[in-house]
Amino acid sequence: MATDETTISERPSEMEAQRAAMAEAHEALLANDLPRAESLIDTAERHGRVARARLQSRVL
Amino acid sequence: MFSDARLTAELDMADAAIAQMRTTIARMQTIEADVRLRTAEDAGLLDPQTYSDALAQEQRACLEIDDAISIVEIDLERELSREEELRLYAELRSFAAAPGDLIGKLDDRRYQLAFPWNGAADAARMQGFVAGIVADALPGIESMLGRATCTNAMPAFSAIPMQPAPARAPIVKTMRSR
Repeated sequence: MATDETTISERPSEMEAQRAAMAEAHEALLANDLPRAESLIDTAERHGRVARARLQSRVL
Repeated sequence: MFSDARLTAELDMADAAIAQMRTTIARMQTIEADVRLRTAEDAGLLDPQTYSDALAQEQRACLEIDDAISIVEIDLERELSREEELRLYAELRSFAAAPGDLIGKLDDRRYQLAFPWNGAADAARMQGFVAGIVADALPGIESMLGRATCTNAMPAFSAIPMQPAPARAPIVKTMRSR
């Protein structure tokens, strides 16, 4: 069955970075370190935006 | 292998998780702020004027049926911090929880509890309970306790050195009629 989708063997580095930042943010939340958790979530969000933009440009 | 659809789905899930974490942080910040701002007066400790007015009202009610009010006064060696005062109030409130029971702050170091519909015998018992509560809530802080029973006038208190803390009385009081 034909598909327009491309596949890659590894998750893009930006998405890996996002996952790492979110895991750290989760740890910070558990430690009740709210400023650090907030900062890490901001970082995760930025990585996500870049990853999405790259993915869309590749698909297009 | 990672398809475009799978990567997109993962990014969507990450966005949802981020939104949830932001909500959690906001809730935790609200709780922190609430704890920071909370004072004993916020929690219900009466200021001197309000306490005086409320006590006068209870006295009038007691006088109508010729009943008495037990009063216990706490005189501390120093002014309490906000946290200490909040802790003391919370402990006292768990004991003085019947309808009409009053807990008021008289000045920086003195607090008073009023137990309407209690006689002289109850006043001594209340003082013993309060002594235990104060010792538990404020370890290391010296205090004097006075007690009195009033019917138609505010009693004069004679300060009584606080006895060594008795075993904590169970926070159960006999039912009082109202």
